[in-house]
Amino acid sequence: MRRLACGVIAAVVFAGAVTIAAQQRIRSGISAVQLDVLVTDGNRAVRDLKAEDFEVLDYGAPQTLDSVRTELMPVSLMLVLDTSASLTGPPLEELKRGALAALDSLDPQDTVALLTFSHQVSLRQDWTHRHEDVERAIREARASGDTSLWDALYAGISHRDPVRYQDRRSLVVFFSDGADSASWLPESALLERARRTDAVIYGITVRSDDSPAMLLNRSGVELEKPALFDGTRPFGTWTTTFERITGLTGGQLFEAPSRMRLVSAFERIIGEFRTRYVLTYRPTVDVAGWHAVKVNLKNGKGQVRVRTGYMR
Amino acid sequence: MQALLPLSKSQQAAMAAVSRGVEAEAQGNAAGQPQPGRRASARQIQEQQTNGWSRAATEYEAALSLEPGYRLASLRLGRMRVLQGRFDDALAPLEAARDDSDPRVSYLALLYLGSLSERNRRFDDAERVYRDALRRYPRGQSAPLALANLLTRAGREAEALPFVKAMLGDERRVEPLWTLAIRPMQDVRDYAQALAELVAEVEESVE
Repeated sequence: MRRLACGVIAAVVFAGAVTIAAQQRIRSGISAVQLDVLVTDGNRAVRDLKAEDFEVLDYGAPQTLDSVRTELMPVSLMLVLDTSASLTGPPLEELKRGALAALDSLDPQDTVALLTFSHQVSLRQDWTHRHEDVERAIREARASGDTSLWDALYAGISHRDPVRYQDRRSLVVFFSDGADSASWLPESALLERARRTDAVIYGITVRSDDSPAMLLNRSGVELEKPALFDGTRPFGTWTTTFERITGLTGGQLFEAPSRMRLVSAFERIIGEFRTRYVLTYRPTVDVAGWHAVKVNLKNGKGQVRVRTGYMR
Repeated sequence: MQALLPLSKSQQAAMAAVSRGVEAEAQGNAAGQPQPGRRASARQIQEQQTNGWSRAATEYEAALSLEPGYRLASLRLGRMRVLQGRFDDALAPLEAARDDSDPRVSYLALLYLGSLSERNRRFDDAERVYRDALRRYPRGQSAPLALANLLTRAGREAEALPFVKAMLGDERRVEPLWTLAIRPMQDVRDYAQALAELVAEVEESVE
């Protein structure tokens, strides 16, 4: 996990990794795949790569890219924000500032939806181009209750922008300051959902001691002791799950130093998302099920990080 | 609203047992919560959970021995059995609670029964039970999510997503049942009041 230093501001600063996220796009009868790619070298984004610079493996087979786009494409941004009781007071105001900063970073053609959660999941604003409506909804948020992050994120990933297929990229940004304590769905359901989404998921959390997951009001229906108590570490640490969710989709988890330093994380995510390439190809292996994806840079410079694959 | 009948001594004792069970349950559930200067090992967490859940189950069984028709105790016993990994033992108490006249209890019992069916890969049964839960309490949050997740797992994503959309689109949606039933200290103390509120709420939703 990357840690956000105090005072990091809107500039997109990368920590020396090359990140590539993939998202599939399946249109009726035409099986094109869209890869959402971020490339960095040191602390800067690399924006001058061409198709011949990428090697894409889908289901183990090399692919021929139809296109590599670097121009800005409209974004569908789903904000999933924790408004549980632990955010009461100044932290909630900081969270609002962060969400508003993300909103300010968007272009007019970008669409946004806002979902907040405590133990209840609430769609505060459905998909809209009217950013002022989202802003109003953000400002009206109140903090109370427990934390149903898994339920909320599941709903947020599932409630997709109806116009997202029109040359639009899908981004989910979630914030939570702690472990899930009230969801019905187990984290395994969320991980499976993340595998099936075409959205890139970024997360923001707050630095902590990485305490073991708590079981307060959760159903616990899929808790399995062999997986939980392996004798080597506390089970199900929430930051581990956050990292897995974001990593599956090619996104990242950012850890803010405190609840009072969230703005830069939101700004950084939007900035980073803007610098991605969009690669398109038609997979040579037309098999239903899970398609593992791997992307390399042919010049070998930098590291490549890619979502683990997609469901077909 | 009709005045509620006074509770018998047996009923009061059963409620007290549930109350003690809830305290034990909470202690088990809270295992792993951060404590300043102390970091519990996985084994310590497991022991604390196991101990709390075991004591809670014993209290719920005691309540049911006093009042076999106390469906809330059945529901809680079923949940404890799930958490203890005693899935076969969870079925009977959950089945006993599934037809309770209190939709809070039947709703949660059905959710648990659905999850057990999923665990046993009886997906058709699970779907039927989740749909039943949704019928019992249409404003619930967990049932549509459970159903959507089940359908997605079965490759029926097109059928799944409308459940999420409908859930998010219903501004009146509340899920007091889950929180209420998992915090039975409050349940027990305010059971009559909560029941009256629930009846009013259901009547309102029917209207």
